[in-house]
Amino acid sequence: MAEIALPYPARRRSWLPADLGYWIVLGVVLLVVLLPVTLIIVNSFETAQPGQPVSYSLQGWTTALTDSALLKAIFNTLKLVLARQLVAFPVAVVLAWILARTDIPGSQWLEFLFWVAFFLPALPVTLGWIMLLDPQYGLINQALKLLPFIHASPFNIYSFWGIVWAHFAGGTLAIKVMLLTPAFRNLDSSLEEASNVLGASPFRTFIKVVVPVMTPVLTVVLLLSTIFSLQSFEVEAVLGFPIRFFVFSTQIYFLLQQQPPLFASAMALSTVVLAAMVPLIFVQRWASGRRRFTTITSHFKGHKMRLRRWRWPVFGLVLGVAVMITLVPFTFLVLGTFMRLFGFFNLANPWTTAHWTQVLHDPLFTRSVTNTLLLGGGTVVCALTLCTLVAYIVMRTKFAARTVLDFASWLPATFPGIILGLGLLWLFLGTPILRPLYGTIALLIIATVVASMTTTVQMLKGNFSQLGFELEEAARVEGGSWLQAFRKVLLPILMPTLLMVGALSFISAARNVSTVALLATSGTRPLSLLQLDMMVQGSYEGAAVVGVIVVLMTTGVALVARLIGLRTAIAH
Amino acid sequence: MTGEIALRLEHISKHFGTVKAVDDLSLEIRAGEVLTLLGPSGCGKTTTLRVIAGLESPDAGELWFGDRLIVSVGRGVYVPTHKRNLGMVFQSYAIWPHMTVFENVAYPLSVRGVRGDKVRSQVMEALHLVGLDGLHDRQAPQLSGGQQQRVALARAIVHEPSILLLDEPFSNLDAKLREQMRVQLKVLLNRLRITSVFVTHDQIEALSLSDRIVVMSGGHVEQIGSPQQLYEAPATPFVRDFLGKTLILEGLLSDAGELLHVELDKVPGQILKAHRAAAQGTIVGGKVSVAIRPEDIDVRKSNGAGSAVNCLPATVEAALFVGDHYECRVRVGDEDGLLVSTPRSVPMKEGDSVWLNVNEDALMIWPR
Repeated sequence: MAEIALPYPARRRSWLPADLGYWIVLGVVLLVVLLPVTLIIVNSFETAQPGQPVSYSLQGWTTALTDSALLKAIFNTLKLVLARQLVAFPVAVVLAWILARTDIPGSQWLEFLFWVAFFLPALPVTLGWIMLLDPQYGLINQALKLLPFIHASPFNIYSFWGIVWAHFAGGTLAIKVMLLTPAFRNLDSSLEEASNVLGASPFRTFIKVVVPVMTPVLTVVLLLSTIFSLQSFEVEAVLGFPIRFFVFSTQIYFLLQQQPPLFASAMALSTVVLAAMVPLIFVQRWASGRRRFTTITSHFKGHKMRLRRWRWPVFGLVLGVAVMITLVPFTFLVLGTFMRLFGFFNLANPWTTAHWTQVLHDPLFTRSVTNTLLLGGGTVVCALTLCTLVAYIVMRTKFAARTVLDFASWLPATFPGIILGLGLLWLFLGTPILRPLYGTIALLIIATVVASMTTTVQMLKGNFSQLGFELEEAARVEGGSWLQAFRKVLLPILMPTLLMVGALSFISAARNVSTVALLATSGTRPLSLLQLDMMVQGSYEGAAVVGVIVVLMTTGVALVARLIGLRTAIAH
Repeated sequence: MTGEIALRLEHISKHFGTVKAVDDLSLEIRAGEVLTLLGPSGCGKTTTLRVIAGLESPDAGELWFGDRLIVSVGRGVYVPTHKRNLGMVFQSYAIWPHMTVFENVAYPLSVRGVRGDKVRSQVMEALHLVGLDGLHDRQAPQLSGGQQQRVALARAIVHEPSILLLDEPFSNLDAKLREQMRVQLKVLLNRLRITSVFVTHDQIEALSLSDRIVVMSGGHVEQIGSPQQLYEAPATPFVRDFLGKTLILEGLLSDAGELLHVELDKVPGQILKAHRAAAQGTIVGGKVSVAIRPEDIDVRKSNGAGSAVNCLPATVEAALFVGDHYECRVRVGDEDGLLVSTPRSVPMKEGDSVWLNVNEDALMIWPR
């Protein structure tokens, strides 16, 4: 009888190794997330090259804070972020409200188009816009010049506003619509209806009730997309280099392309940016943490506003925007691959398939495809393993340091890719045991895993939180180890999510430019960098071919994952 | 009550997909009257209210406010919601969380261009009417459910709307608060005399607050009448069963001169006598149901003491003491599971023999 009174006599002992495993996961995450950034801060004071005897000075900082070019880059960054948000935010709020709160036809499909726009890699989209808005041969410019009263090209994509536009059409708008639409959908419709019934027009209701009620959510989204917009690199690289317009990320890249690379200045500039982001990060955490207005009530009703005679005009407008940021750039990108000279429609014989033949037979291209597949595949495996463990530990265990782990997994979202790349570069060049990894694809995989860590962990956490503890506990009460419970019960249930998350990490790895730009060597360059190189060299036709392939690869993976995910969901 | 019509619905229909939420509904509401739309969920009462508010547009029919045409599907007329001069209390109250109580209540005035001291005096007056003096500076989320409900009411009447709409305003309050608010709303509506349309599924609310009740089911009107009319003379079994409780006994109808007789199927040898007026649409010799309101049954422990025409012997199957009275489940012959209430003064227990005394005018006879 005494034996029965003691529950789990042997289980107690198995608790210890599990805990050790948690510490190992925490150690790995801290190593790849915090160490690179710490190194950047420490090494901004170091003037010597990697591998040289260590010497510390303030020289990097003096340069960063006095060099007018670096200050200009920081100023440009701020100006660009501000302009992007000012243009995109009001438009996104209106679009999200229309999609979520009105009876616009096909709202699900329109919302899906904004998802597509968000997943389109920035470089190919930018290339599509170059064909339309180039000051010499841009199609829109040429068309407008046919008008009698326009003589000069009205648009120039190689300009400050050109960069703003390329961003607006290539993700800045889409991410906001994507984040805001579900939030608007959860708004209690009677708040709007009350205003309407009590005598306010729909427009007045929107301004006086909807926007103020949504302010907490809007703040969070605004901060989040500001942090995201600081990540951008490739659009500025392609459109800014020709006019010597630098933001901090392209400036860092530029400093490291010098002979010898100006490491200290790059590090100091990175530190300044990181320091500037700290308050942003904390404001964002604080804003998303507090819930002053609960917009979802228990008796929530999702009545939608009837647009009546405005229904189809509004549909046309939203569809126009959605098509403009998805189909339009992609169509012209594809057209560009078949043109003898990118954008020159008025040649005698403008069409050719030569670029496709040329690119597809280029050994550099073949190697880049292999690299991208290796990079994507490796990222999927590593990110899923690490992030599932992190999400599990944070959500399901009583591990002492799980809040530290949670915060550490959240940080990479706030690191601009180029800075993360720089930190990893220093970590792997400066640590003798890690140095052999430099020049291998493994280094790139680590970089993209860290880059996609936040999103992956957040999505998995969301899933773990929806699953009841009972499922897992039942499996364990029935007998069986933790591993069996995890493999036989949790994993099958999580499968559809894992597929989606895996597809997302593949896509973000395949399109990543900023994080891997500094880490890739000639042997490990993936497609995304091949396209960047081609564009910087002015070989737009070849770049367009590579761009189309990247787009097809990423959207293809997304579609396959969605189909498999749907089937698994149905089979369950 | 004057005969002036404040609100008229003519052949209103509204579909959601294949579901007919409102089916060819016509209704007239007199000025100053409190009219209740009563029915189970899904009967179309809320949709009707939302059509009046302009939050749904009907598929067919016309809507008139007095002699002003508001909606006509045939003539293509549609006055948008905000131009209908309405007040409305929502089920969720819909108090705007980013405004203070004052700002919430002042909103209908400010959108109508009222400015300055006039706003202040009207808001304070409205808050006083609902008993919220001194709370005007509170933020809306700091209010209790009952207070939010009063703010919603103040906001709905502050601009003296031509029609007040109330969509299940009490359903989110606890039972005690609901009783208090019901009395207060009755007093307020009596004082303001605003034409009001009130939607509820609660028969007590409907009976106590309304001048007239419209019982709805399946998108159409079952019966319209005063609370007393509906309770005492329901036109259909649906209305009878929805309003109040009834005991149903089945039997055969026979004519016995002055009174009608019903031979009960499950109580051999027992006959219930009823007035001729109680039997609508029944035929002599036909199968009928006898409906009796429990409060019309006088339950006694001894026979003969009652002066009632009908007297049925019964056995108590279960007696539940609920404080102010007993809830008893009794059996009459083979008919079991009949629920009646008996006063606290006569203790009841399982197995007791009792007599159910019912007067002939308390019986309703329905064809079966």
